[in-house]
Amino acid sequence: MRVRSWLLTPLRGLVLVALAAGSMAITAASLAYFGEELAPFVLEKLPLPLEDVWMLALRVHVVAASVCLPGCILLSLGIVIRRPRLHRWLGRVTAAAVLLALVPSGLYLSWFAKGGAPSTVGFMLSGAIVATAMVQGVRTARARRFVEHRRWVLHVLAQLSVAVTSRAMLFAFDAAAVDENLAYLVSLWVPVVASFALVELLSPRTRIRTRTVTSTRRTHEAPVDARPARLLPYDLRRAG
Amino acid sequence: MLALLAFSHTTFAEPASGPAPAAKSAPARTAEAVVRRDLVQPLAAKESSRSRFSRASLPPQERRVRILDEQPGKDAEGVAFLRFAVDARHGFAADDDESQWRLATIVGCVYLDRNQVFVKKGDEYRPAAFLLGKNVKAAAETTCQPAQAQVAHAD
Repeated sequence: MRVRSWLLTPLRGLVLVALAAGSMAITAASLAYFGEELAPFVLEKLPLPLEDVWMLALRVHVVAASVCLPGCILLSLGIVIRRPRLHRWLGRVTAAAVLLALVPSGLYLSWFAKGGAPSTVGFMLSGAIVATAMVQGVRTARARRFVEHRRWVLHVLAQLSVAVTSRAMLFAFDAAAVDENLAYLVSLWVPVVASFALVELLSPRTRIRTRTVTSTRRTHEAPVDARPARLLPYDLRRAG
Repeated sequence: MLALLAFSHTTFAEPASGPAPAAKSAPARTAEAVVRRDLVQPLAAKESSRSRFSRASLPPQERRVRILDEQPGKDAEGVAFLRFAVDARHGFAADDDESQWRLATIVGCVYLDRNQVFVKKGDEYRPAAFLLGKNVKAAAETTCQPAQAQVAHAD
């Protein structure tokens, strides 16, 4: 167990650093959507019905994404988890950005995704997982069921990480000269399904409610299990 | 995967001569030069500074121009043009591997008299500047359409 912990702790750090770097790179690349010139991604899509609506959705999506993924990364850091008030407010901002901007704009954009219907379904599935998991994440946090809360918000982080992993896969497929549409579909579906499966595998199989506060009155005291977060090794910390 | 992304270096799309036919007409040679100068080279230069971290198609390793007509055709206004296609090579395999080439990733036509290059997007033709990011409007419906084809279409 101790050995696994030794391995998983730096691995978790590496994953978070890679996601943060990927998020920054995506945000930097997305600045092109706010200039006067048409970005290559936009050029590929044109002509579009309701072009202005699509462009607005794209801009809302990239601005929301530039908040949501870094927000989720910060929320998973021990330094934030140990500060309940900060964690709560950052969580509220991130949840609002996800549910009011990221998911709705992403769902609209998915109708015009490269790769046709399979691609649209893939993006919609990812969006549905994010929305459901975020709602459940908020509900469980409010109910102070923090073990469940962690599982749900991990699903959110995992699906948001698809933005980074799918681009990395696209790059690898292009280097191997794989057919563009096939590469696009595989680079979407594999990270979406694998991220979901990974969270389910690493999360506790049963819903542990031993730490649920018995009082129904909400307080502003620190969460009961607000100790340094472990993103991956839930199973190591399971009771018994 | 991320390491690959971070440390890989791509050679950006440079115009390639490709397997050129043995003999090309003078208009075809001129048209090819115009397409290289006004489309392929500026596109490669633009792509060299472009972020790879986008969902847009990644820039190819190289491009080659094929002029599809030996002699110019004429549109409804009687202006001569030649059609062209641009192939793109992706991947890091040897450039003589024909399977690495995606054919006709860009198609369009060149008006030699006017020194104008148009590219097809959807059902419309737009000035080549469109692919360089300029928000230019679609050209007239007669652009790049042989006069006979338009008569047939009208029928």
